[in-house]
Amino acid sequence: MERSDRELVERARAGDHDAFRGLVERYQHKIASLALGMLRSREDALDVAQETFTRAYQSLDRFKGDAAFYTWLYRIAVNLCLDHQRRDSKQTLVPLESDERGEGAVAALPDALRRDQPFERARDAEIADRVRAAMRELTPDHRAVILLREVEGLSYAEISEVLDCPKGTVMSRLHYARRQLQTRLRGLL
Amino acid sequence: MSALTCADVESVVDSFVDAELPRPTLLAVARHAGNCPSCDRTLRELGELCEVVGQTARADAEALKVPDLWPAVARGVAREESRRLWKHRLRVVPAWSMAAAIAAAAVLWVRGGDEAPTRVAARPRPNQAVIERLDSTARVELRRERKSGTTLIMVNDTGGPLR
Repeated sequence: MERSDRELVERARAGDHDAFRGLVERYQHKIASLALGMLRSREDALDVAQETFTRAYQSLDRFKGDAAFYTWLYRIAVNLCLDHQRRDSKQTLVPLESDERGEGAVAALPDALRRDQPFERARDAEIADRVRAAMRELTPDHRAVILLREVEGLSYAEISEVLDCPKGTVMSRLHYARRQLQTRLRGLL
Repeated sequence: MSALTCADVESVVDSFVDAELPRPTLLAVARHAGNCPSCDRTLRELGELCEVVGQTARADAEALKVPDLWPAVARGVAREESRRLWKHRLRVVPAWSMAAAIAAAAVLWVRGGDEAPTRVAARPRPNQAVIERLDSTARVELRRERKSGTTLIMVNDTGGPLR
């Protein structure tokens, strides 16, 4: 039976390394993906993910448990990403449009978007590239709110916990970010 | 709930798409959009944007190959535990033993110098003690000159008795 986050946190607090390892394995992909969306660099994303878990372990005693463990973890990750971007304005871009087999952008799109016709595949690739470019142009705060909503599927209340800001701020950032994306993707959708 | 205007709908499009509205408001917006092509288009376009942004970002996330982070995190965990252990040790050491350690360190520091501290003698004034020379190995003797009222500190730096 899979142990709950709360149980693993309690065990990790008591010095059980395997319990903390369980939390790392459960969330490492989510945290790295979020960091990748924020930073657009695989290496930086993995560094941030690793640092997120190290920081989480350091402050495990301060985790009150009134919020979900994953929102607390996202909060650490987002703050590290924002710090990283403030510290290092240059961002190395990884060619996400091609995977290791060199199959191009379409390989990175889900099956639902992959179609047989070459024209459709090229159009999907173009849309994905334009979306990535438009996301890059958002400020880190606006990018964070979009990723937490559209990718992680967090509610406004959860996003406000992660970003440590009022729900109204989440709503206005989301509204602004979406209008920016709509403007940049006009004619494409 | 009274019928919504286009301005009302415009102000809640994001919350509608994210299903963050109370159920009656969700229904009212849907009802309005059913009769208003403009608001219907606005809602559909926003829904499409959210879908394509979400799909692209999720596809990138799925393509990301994340190695097992535990070995690197475990090193950080070990460092943290070592730091906590030292913090704990410092906390349990009694204050008097810390003070004794500091005092011992101070004594060693004072006695450990290669050169004995010297002082150029000033002309003694009445009732003034003058230290001519100090040496950690020397014998020291105080002599008071009754006539001038000066106290002399006699030091033998060979370690032998004073004459």
